[in-house]
Amino acid sequence: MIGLMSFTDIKVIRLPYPDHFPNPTFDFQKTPLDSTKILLGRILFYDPILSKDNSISCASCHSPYNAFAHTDHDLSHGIYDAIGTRNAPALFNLAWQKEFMWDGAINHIDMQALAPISHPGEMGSSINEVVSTLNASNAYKELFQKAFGEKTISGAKVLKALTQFQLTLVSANAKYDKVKMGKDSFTLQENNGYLLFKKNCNTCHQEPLFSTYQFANNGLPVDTTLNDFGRWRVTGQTKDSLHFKIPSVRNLSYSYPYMHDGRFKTLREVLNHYTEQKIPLTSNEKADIISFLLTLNDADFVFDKNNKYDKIKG
Amino acid sequence: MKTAIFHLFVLFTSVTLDAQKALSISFVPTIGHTSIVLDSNYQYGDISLSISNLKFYISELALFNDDTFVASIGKQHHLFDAGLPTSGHISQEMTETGAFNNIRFNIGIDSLTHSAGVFEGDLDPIHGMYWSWQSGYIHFKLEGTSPACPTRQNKFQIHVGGYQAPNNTFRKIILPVVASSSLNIEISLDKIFQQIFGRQLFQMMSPGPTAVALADLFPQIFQFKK
Repeated sequence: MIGLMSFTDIKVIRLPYPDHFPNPTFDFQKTPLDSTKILLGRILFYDPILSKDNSISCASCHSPYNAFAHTDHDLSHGIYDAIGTRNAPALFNLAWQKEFMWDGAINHIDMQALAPISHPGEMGSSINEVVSTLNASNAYKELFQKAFGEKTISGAKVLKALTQFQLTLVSANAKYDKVKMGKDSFTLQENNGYLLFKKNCNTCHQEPLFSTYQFANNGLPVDTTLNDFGRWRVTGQTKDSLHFKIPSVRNLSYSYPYMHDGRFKTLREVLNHYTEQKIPLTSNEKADIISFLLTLNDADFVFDKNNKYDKIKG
Repeated sequence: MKTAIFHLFVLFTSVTLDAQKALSISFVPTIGHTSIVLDSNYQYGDISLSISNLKFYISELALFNDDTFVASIGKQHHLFDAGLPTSGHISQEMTETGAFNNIRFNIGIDSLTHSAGVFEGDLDPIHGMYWSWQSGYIHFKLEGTSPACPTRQNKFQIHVGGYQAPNNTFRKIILPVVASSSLNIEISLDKIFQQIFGRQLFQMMSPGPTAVALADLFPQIFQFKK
């Protein structure tokens, strides 16, 4: 009877996404979503207990109000006021992505959190420290018991819980999506911007996710104060020099500044960069594209209270 | 009739003897054929050294008879840790032991497992055998000190990893053995130290051609000892 009750506690959930989205790349057959693990992951995501001095949580650089980016900061922040070398990317639609980080150094979403947890300029801790701190907390032991059926906390369980929460961050309800679902329509200017976007931008920022999630050199000169050559460091192949992961252009109003080093504060600067890269656009056309890009802002996602801080009870 | 019954009896007893028998394989690291313990002094030629950490993955350990698979031994992925003496012994309850004349295993973690997310147990990243800055298991880790190392605190730190071509350091090992229920495998570290001191390779912590060259030595460092 007890076994049956604990079984019914676990709620398997299907990731909600609209018909115009492709199938996720994440294997939900192998690892289904489960509400107790999602809740645990969400609590961990907002808890500075993951950092060395209890000052920085995942949400410090990935705030829900900024589509899980760090608005107004070009480079990420860390413990003891450390400044990182890259712009914290927005987090959404991760179930459709195979490689993580601006250079694709991480090959699975489970493994992603290890990097910020152990980076000396980010959280400055280690998965071992995190596991022993969590194992000393009765409240967390209860939560792990509920989620995994075991009180003993392992590194794998911490990472799996963080994965579960982050997979639920789906942005699919912007005006663009409503138009695709037949619930809304573009203005004349938005529609003109959409046509221009499809002609000039869609190769890399492919709809409906608005990225192929491949790597590209978009012509930005290297910032000599950072000397970040992107994917080159990962593959060791010079052809990958200055290649960075193509970001989605959803939720741009919430997630400025732009580019891997946050060098552009406005969309106008971004579009000016691309016209310098020989994408011919008049000023009116740029205005039209921007009006289309604004239809990719997903306020329902950004203000979804299910994604926000949930205080640990106990 | 009598002989038939006798034969049946012999057959029966030989099966029951084999049934529920444990087969164990022990891995023993050595320098100059002397088995090592952590944080003790050893001589490699004229060089004195001490090992503080020796860990590596043994995966898909199995018995073979020529090229025919006979049986799997232990877990799919096993972390050898010189700091945990029990981790050197891998055993398996056998329901039936067929003839075998070689054992096979891999040093490291295959590329499929590498890209499949996080796992519990020996593959959990808490064992210090996973790179956080770039996805990948450390297949083989050897750390220690020697006055011959001109490094900070005289340390040598060798982390062999990399799972993608051309820098894949996952290695298959085939070792001829004489069948018995208890096999001893010596891991002679001399060839690794030859590289560390001969090539002044005191620090290595990323995938690349140097790691590949070291991994190429793996098949030579394992020896069957009766």
